[in-house]
Amino acid sequence: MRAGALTVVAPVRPERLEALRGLLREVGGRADASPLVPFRDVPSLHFARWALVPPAAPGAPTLLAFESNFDGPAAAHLGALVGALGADFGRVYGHCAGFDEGAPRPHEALARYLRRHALDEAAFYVGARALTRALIDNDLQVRRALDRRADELVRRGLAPRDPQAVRAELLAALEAQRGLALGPPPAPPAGPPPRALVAAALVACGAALVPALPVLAPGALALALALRWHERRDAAALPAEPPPDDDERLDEVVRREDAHAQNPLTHLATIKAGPLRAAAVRAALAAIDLLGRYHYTQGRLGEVASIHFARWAILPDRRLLFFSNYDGSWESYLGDFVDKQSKGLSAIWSNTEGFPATRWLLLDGAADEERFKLWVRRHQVPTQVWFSAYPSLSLADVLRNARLRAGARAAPAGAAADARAWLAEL
Amino acid sequence: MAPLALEDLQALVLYAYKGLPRSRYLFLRVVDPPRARRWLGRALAEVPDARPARTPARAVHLAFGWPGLVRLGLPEAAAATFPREFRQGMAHEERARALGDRGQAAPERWQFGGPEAAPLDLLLMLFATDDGALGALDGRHRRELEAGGLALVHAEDGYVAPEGREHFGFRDGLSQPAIAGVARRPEAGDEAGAAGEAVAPGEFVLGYKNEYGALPLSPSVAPDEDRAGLLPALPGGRRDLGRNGTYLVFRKLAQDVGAFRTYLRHATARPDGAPDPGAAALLAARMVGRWPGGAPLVASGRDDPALANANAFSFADDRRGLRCPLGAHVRRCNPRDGLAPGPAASARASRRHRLVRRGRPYGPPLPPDCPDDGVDRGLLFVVLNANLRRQFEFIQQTWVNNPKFDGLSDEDDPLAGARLGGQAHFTVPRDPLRERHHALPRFVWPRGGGYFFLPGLRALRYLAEGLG
Repeated sequence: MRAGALTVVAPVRPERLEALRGLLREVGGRADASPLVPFRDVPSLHFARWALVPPAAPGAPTLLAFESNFDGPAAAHLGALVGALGADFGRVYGHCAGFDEGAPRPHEALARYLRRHALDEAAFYVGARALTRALIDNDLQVRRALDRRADELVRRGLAPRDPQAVRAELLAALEAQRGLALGPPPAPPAGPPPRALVAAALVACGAALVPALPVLAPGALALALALRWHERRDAAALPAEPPPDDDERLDEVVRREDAHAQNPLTHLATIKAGPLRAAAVRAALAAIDLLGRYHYTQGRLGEVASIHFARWAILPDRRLLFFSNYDGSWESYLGDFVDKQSKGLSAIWSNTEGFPATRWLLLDGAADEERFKLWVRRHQVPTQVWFSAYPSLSLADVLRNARLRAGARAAPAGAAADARAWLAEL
Repeated sequence: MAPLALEDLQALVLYAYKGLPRSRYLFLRVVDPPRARRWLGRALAEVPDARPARTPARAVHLAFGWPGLVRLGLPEAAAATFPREFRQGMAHEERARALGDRGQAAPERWQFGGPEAAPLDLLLMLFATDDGALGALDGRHRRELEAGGLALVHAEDGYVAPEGREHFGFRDGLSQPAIAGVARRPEAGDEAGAAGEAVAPGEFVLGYKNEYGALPLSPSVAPDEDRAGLLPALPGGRRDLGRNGTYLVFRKLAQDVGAFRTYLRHATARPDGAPDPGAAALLAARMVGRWPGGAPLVASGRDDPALANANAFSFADDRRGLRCPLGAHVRRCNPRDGLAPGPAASARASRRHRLVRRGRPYGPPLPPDCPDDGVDRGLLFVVLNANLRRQFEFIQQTWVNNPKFDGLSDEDDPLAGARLGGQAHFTVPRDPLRERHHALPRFVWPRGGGYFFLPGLRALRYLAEGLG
């Protein structure tokens, strides 16, 4: 079962903005082990964040955006979140408009408030499907036990030459350590999706591409030409040289990066005016969502293998919010975007303002390396509070540890090749 | 694709001056801008361009830190067109984080270029045939500096080592990118740097298409800031200050040769504690990814002289790292075709993270079998690239210092890594079970440095005559 997503966007009471900012600063100092909001106490939680979203227009409120990525059904997650962290969340949402701090049954009031301000994700992607947080924690223990035993065998010169014998030595170490789940998970991981769904995904994807392939209906041709007309006009309005990338917002964004093996990215763009852009961005997001759900199920979105969780949500004020929890440096993540995923990202973001000039929804745009990176930087928003349940693990670590655990059951007369492949994961 | 305008390019971009084995790097501060500009006007006559000619008897090259450009009089709006990382400089906390310069390696502790130290406005590089000639060149320039409104902040001396060996004992500088479409005059020492795969000129020189097929963003001035018309025009009307220029990274990297040898000896000691020199040499070669003489481990199981300059090798057939460990220095600095998702994509990606290398060792070699002598020695790391963030910083952050490089888990570059997690492992894949070496200390320590802009010759003339 794939992890779930909760997105909540609530307006901040203007007179409480500074107080909220101060509180988030305190919480955000060490969100992976914060005594103020102990996210770690919610056992089904993988990642969470709070980010302050600047007002859409002068006079509009600042928004507080929250995301969580969790195991199990959404209702149970909301219950667990409110149950474990209700008082802490109450302090945070006490600064938001329409939240009744003195409600008689505060947990229920909080849950109602969160539900009322929840947004549907327009697209949601999970890197390690079918792996619960408990399993990820378990698999890390498996990996550590195997590494310790392997080190010992090598150091003492005891490692046999025969792969199956080595494997047996290592498995003995796991059995000595009680309480570890070994072998494939009890419920088999989701098998290949039904063909019909794959077909539906392809059709939806095709629908998003229709403007670029005007071969069928005259309507599609008209749409494509209209889009291309918009694209030319938008490109002509872009400045010849991108504006400089220095302001306090960006300083704060960068200051928060690279404390762990993973990073959060919070990004906010404004969808261009008109129904055509609104429809195009929704179609592109729907296509990405379907592909992520049914096609890219092996830990890679396209060829990008560094995303734990990512989502897009459209705000009622016509802004597009993007949250990502990724491995490694921003430069490598953005490099992957440009090198491996530029068409998909152009299909989404070329419908938002200031995006580098794009042709036929897919071309140029995010492939314009320097301008695209500057555009992303210019639209990033500081992530005030960020929690990761396993900040030292890359997605590659998570998936490899799971393979080690799944293969750590003494197979009867396992082939030497299997043992060798399993050992190569160490 | 226009070929490079060699007459406008500082020759250092194409030539390493192996025939001029003595070099001095003078870091200068602009004290009196008008006099400094006049000095620059005189000095630039000595800067050789990159047109093929016979090897010069000496060479002088000039590069500028961002504070130096501002102090010379570059207008604020024009100075703001330089990229963020160059404006901030190597010692800025953002850059230090990307480069892994923290703790004992933090810029606050550097010998020069640190955040509180004198700014490095100008870098004057002198190349000569021997110590006498270098002394004469240096003496003449120093006399002119004082009259030229410049103050000496710091100086470093580098040299071309016999056989091109760096202090850990390995031949260095072998993997050098070739610039597509550019015919170089052969120079002394070229055989030690067989040209590698051709890379688009825009990766190393502003004004040309890069590996994305795009023109790199380039610093520029407004038309009325170049009334004499010294600079070429950009589409849109601004004047191109970056054309035929590039960015130069200078990093003084101390090498703790004593710690390196001690680690190797302990990590490979026999069970009874006796040293095993053969195993130590093998471990060192695995950490580097080449044998001391240069032969790549992936191509040869021994230090084969026939492969000493090999630079056309591949990692695609060694995806598990059984011949050359995945975390070896040469795989991290240039993974070639060895990374996921596959050889073609990996080779394409690697071409987007290459550096022209102009570094030289400093300090005397530590004699063999000498434990340590407390003498400062290492590498004056000098590289050229068109995009500091995507090339130099990316290699440091995403490859050299990344504990997750190529699917690895808790280790950084065994030779040059910053050990950001304290100490690191080094995994040597074996069949059937990997070896893992533990508790590698840090062997390479930054001691100073900065980011510089190495202008084209027209831009140099603009800085001398077009400002103020």
